[in-house]
Amino acid sequence: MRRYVDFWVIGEEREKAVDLLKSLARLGYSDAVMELRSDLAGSFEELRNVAAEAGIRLHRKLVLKPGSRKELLRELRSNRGKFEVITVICENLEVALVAARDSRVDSLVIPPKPGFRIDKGVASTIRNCVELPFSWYLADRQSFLEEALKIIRVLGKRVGVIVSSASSSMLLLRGPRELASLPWVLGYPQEKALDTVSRTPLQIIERNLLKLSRRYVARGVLRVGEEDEEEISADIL
Amino acid sequence: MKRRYLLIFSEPSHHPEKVAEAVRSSYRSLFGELGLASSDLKLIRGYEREGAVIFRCALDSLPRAILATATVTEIDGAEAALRVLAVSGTMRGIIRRLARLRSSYT
Repeated sequence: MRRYVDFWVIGEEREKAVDLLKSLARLGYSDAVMELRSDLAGSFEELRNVAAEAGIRLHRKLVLKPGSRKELLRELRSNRGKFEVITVICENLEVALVAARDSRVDSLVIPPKPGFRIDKGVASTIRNCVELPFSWYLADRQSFLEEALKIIRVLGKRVGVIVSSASSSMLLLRGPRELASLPWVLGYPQEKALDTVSRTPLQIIERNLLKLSRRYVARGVLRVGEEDEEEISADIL
Repeated sequence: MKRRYLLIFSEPSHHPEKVAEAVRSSYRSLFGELGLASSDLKLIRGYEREGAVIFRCALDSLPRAILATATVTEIDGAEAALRVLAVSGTMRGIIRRLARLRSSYT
């Protein structure tokens, strides 16, 4: 059975964040990646426990919106190892090209009308996944769809695509099937569309959890001991 | 023509006709009059107390129907969300899912 992930939910206040987590469990998600804003940043462990009670595995997300390559690299350096998932909103080509290749970055968000063209040249450099935030679609459908179509057509075959809610409100959360309907309508086959809310984000989470664990030494190298009996699939490594 | 049945819940609960109109209008704005006409999108049954509706659509317009449903953010001027809770190939299947959901809520 598939496990579903909402790769971006926004926690702003404790009560609202708890309601979001319960709502996600009801919608059928098993994992959620939360960006913690304002006061919530310090209460991640508490939220993780609440989420576990609701049946959700909660992970931390950092969303960066740098103006330049230098700023992006500085932010990545200072936040290394603190978050399970790092997403970069690419507002210019310079940032997009760096974020696309940096192994510390997990996903890129290309905003509608980004001021640069996504062509085969850009596509050839992208190694990280591209994320489509559904709340952005709800906010400005036409511009979002124009950009999403380009992403699916040009990048869709080369890189992984993830669809997430990107919302702090319960009424803007959507179920996995509803999120997957976006790439499905834009041309993905059904199974591949469902992967955008399940397999692709799960692989990133598992890989990053492993990277953050004590067992990780370097890419492809793990410390194996008596306590570590859990098998690790080859595609995570 | 193959069809699919969708069980949709509105949050907060709204009258089935209002929900149906919101879905149809969202479908029309996304895919046009011709798209709506060829989708065979039809309200089959409404449950006012639960805010649930059962829709029918052509199999090949299923992703479009789900996207149109997910696009609804407002019903009757108030903030709302529509959730597709089940999809089935038969009416009997969807009624069974509704019964299961009802029993899990009570």
